[in-house]
Amino acid sequence: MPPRVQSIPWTGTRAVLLIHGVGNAKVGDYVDLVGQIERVLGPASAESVVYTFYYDQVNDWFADKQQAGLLVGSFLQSMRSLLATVQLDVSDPVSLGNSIADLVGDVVWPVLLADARNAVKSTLIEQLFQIVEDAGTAGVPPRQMELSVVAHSMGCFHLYETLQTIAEDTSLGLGPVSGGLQLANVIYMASPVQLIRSVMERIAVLVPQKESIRSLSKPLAIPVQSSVEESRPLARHTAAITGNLDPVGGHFFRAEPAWAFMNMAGQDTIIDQQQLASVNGSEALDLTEVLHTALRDRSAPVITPNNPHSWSEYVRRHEADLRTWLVPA
Amino acid sequence: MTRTRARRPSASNRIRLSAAVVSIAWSATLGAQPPASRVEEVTLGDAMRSLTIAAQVGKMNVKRPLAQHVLDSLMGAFASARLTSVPVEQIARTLQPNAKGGPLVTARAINREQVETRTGAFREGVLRLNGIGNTEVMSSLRSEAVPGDSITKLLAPFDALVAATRAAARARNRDAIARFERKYGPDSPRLNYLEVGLNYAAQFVPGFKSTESGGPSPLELIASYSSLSMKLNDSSSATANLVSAGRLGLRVYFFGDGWGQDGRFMRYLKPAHGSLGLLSLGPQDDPLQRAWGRGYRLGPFVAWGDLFAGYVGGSNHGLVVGTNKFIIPRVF
Repeated sequence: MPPRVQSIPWTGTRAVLLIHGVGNAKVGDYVDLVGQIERVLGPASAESVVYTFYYDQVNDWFADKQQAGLLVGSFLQSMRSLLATVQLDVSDPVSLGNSIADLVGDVVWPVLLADARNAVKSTLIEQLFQIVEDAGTAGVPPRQMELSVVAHSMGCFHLYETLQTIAEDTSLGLGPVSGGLQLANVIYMASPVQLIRSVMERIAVLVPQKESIRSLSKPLAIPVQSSVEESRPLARHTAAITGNLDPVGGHFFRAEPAWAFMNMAGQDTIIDQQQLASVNGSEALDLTEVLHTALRDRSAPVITPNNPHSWSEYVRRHEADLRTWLVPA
Repeated sequence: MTRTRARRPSASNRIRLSAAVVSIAWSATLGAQPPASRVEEVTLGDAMRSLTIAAQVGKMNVKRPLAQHVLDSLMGAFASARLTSVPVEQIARTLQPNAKGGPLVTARAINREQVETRTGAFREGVLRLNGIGNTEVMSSLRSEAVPGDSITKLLAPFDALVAATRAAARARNRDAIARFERKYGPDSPRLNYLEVGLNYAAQFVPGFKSTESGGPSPLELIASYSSLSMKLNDSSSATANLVSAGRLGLRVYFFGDGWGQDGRFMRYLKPAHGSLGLLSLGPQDDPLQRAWGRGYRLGPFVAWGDLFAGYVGGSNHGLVVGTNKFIIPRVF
């Protein structure tokens, strides 16, 4: 059975497409995140639809068919040696390197198997076709669509590659010039695109059909389509949000190496000041406040470790930004 | 002497004025040639006319003269190539990468004349037309404050061309996904470790490369060892032995419609793949033996779906039949 894409009846002119990151997401996962986005939309959610793009079924095809352990090994080794060249003030750089390498290992399929990356890209393009069809069924032509895309982690890589392909292949009719569809927002959360690019450059000799990987064969840039006298970016607004403790987003204990952080000209960059732990449910570590609270409650502060890569936390921290972008006044 | 300044019309008046212009222009078009009532009946000529009128309404010749010049040139080229009567759905199919024939052939069929327009140039021309309509024409209309509803009505034939382009692209994209599924999906042949390595390396070789618009290559390398083979001896004793066989060859996936269907019989009549290559047996007709090295026997094989048949020569020659199934997954 081919991978299913979501089809939702439109109730207005606005839609949000969510693209998840690494993991083993199944249809129905991310329901909580959809709820978060609907809360961000507020009253406008009644006239908005929220899609979620699932692509792990496609990844599973390749995982089941192929055993790429040997290739994974060289990929991870390259990642570790790359990290070893960075002077980081961390107590256990080997452990950090391993954890990052294991995480980045999830990108092995799209990097080392051209069919794998093209299959995911084709499926994402199919999802976009379906969204345009859903809008058309509701009488909303592409030029009136207010479609925003929010991607997290590895989803950012697939989104970046897909948008660049749409910009280049005008016969798809999905861009602002080729199809009259200009995305309202493209929001990358914890994007590993630059990180993956750096790793791919290290193992370039192993990467097949490099020219088909836009994030490797060309400088990172916001995709644009041009007509005779006008050029238009695929999205009116592009934002990249990451945390300064999120290694997938290109930050290593608050360091921001150029080889890891995605920094495209024209993007709206937001770097969250993250903490390793929350005290009493808050990331704001004000010692005075902590002591006051402890004295008042006569109990020790509750310290809980944070996941700097959590998608829902990114959304929570940026509810106001998202509201401004997704539902402009 | 009192000078009276010509008053600039208010925003609402400008909208009414533009709407009236659109209405008049559209009416004129209606009079000249009735627009197609159904999207399937919209022709390239209809789309061109709607763009021409929209460009006039938006005063594009003043605001974006270069775009107007290119638009006029494209109109002239399409008209002289006598392609204006070709339905946009047919036009759209030719815009997809690797499309063959197309409007050039259609135009020849319609006009019984040699058309000089080259298909490649035609493709670029129509895509450029799409671009001008979606950007320069649209910007011109908006700068004249033409209401959205009027734009939608005015550009309906042009929008039909863009929608047809998207529909053709979607069909092509779905076809690519179906091919990926046939080659890699749950019903596809599994690869052993050696085959994984060989097919990884094959990605660098022309013929085995994936294409972004068309999906995977239909080719896949085989280097397998199977313990579920049966050798039918040619000798007078007419015995059969369970043997282990090695195979080195090429698998070809059938991506055409109707192939790779499920069903007890259809999967054998029109399977998802076939293959051919060389088959080897060890020196003895025994199972779980090496199929190479000293004393091995070699012969051709052909596979149809999961079934294969081969023939080995030598002193102990005979027909070998078997299946692609593994006893131990991914190994043999």
